Amino acid sequence: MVIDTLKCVGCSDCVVACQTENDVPIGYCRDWITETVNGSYPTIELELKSERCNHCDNAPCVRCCPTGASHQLDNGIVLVTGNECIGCGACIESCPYDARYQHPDGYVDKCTFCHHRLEKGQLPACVSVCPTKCMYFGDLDNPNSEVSKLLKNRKHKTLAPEAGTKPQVYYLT
Amino acid sequence: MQEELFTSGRNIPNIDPSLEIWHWPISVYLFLGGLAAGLLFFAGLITVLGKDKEYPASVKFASIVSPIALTLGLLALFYDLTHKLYFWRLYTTIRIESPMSWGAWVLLIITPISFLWVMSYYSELFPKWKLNFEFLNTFEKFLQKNRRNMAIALIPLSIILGIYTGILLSAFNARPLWNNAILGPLFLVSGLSTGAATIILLAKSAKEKHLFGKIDLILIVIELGLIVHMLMGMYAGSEVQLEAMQLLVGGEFTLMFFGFVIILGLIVPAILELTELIGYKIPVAIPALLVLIGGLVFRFVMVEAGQITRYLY
Amino acid sequence: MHTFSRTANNPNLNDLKKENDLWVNPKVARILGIKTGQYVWLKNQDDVTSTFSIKVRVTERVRWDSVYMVHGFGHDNKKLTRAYAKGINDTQLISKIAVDPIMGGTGIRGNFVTILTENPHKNIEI
Repeated sequence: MVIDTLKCVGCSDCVVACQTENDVPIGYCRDWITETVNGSYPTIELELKSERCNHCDNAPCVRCCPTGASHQLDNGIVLVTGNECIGCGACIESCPYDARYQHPDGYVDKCTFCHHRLEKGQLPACVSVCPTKCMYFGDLDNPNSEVSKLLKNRKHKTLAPEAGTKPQVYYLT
Repeated sequence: MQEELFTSGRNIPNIDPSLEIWHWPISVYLFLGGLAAGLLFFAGLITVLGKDKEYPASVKFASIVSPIALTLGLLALFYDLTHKLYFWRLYTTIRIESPMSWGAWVLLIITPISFLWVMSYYSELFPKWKLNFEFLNTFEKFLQKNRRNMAIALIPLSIILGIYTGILLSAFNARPLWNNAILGPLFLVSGLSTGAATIILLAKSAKEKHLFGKIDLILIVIELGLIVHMLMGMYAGSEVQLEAMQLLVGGEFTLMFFGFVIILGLIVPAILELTELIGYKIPVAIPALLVLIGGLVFRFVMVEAGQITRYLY
Repeated sequence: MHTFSRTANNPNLNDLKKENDLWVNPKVARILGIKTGQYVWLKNQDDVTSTFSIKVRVTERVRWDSVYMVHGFGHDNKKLTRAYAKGINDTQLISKIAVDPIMGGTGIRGNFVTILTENPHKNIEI
């Protein structure tokens, strides 16, 4: 997924869309907006980002799950099987982005890139409702896809690369 | 000025403003696991070296504590799970990359062995409660014959039990306070030292108390060296590790860490045991109890402080 | 995040944003001695005091001679169970208006506020 920070306005439509699409209980959220302000008035830099689970290539949550409930599919999406999760909390401790939470039913939950919508050929809920169209979703292994071309042409960054997790959500700056 | 905040008002319970997923059951389990590992290591080692008649407390009396400690630790872990009905899923697969999976399997193997170990000493430990069933008596004799085999199995298993608690924490690269490789050996040495302290408390002969007093002294010195190593390593680390260091030496946990863990838990018992070796009479219960309290507080501090450290926000 | 003031009681949106913040420049915050997270009251030039209190956010994003808050909070109808008494109502503080006699356009920029750090309603029951 590629997100353009120059176009995000922080409206939180993606947060509410995800909550309604995935039945996230009130009080929890699978994605959120962060605002970073640098400098002093009147020379200020503002960055708005929509963050979620980064579906890392070297995911620490998959590595430390004792039952294998946290697994990674071939296309890179990290999912949690609720029936195999014992609720030990190790994956929550190991995520540097605090992307996981304990669902009130006991298992651990997080952003799934709307896997059920991808199977039907639709885009994830957050990408489809964004009013400024700042979110792009596609196959990074395919050099002709929109996301690969965006990464080739513009400067981009990832969150906390020093944690060694190789996250797969890129932010265009 | 720099400002970083959640515009969308994120306030997930137990995660914001700082992570609080693991509470006291995990710290209690880490302490009990280390204690049991230390006790079983010494029990196995003394039996393999053939000195079990000279040091009865370490193989007999103190080893009653290990099955109790392991059972209480397992109950504490089970209590901490949030999806309790599915705990059996832990035993449907072995995941080599997950230290928690190693721990689950090692606990599964070592807990019955510790019960069998106590069972093999049953007639010596509980002479008043004679076993009424004949097959239990033959079972006990079978265990006594195989005691040396059990001891040989116990030594590596107890080392794995002691060290995996540290490796479990150091495998989380998202918590800078835990993400150093010294935590594994540090927890192992701490566990062995609490095990030696328990043996001192339960020992009956002065010779045994002195031997384990010396062993405990050496282990305390090694543990102090490893803690210094850990602090130096974090001083030389990245910004997040320096901030993690500040929690322990200059922040909220300084009193607990330096006061209870280092001074009361390590330095004072070392001085007391040294003066005892020189010749002064000191009741041995005091350094042993201080070491036990120091071990427990150390694990509480590590679990609580580690969850506050983070890479982002 | 919310739409005008009518979505303030919506469960999903209210959970994400319950109340508005008062954006205060750091220089002003230093002079007045207020910090992020503190609750303050506003009083305007005609001595109209806000009914409820508002949380302060000390930020560089606003000038030192103004404060900013999002419109649409400070509801005083108890039936809006989630939105009642959260944040303050900015229209309550607009008391001086100039009305254009021909087309009725309203000029509302002549209102100035002071920040009060102590509860002005302490002796009065709301």
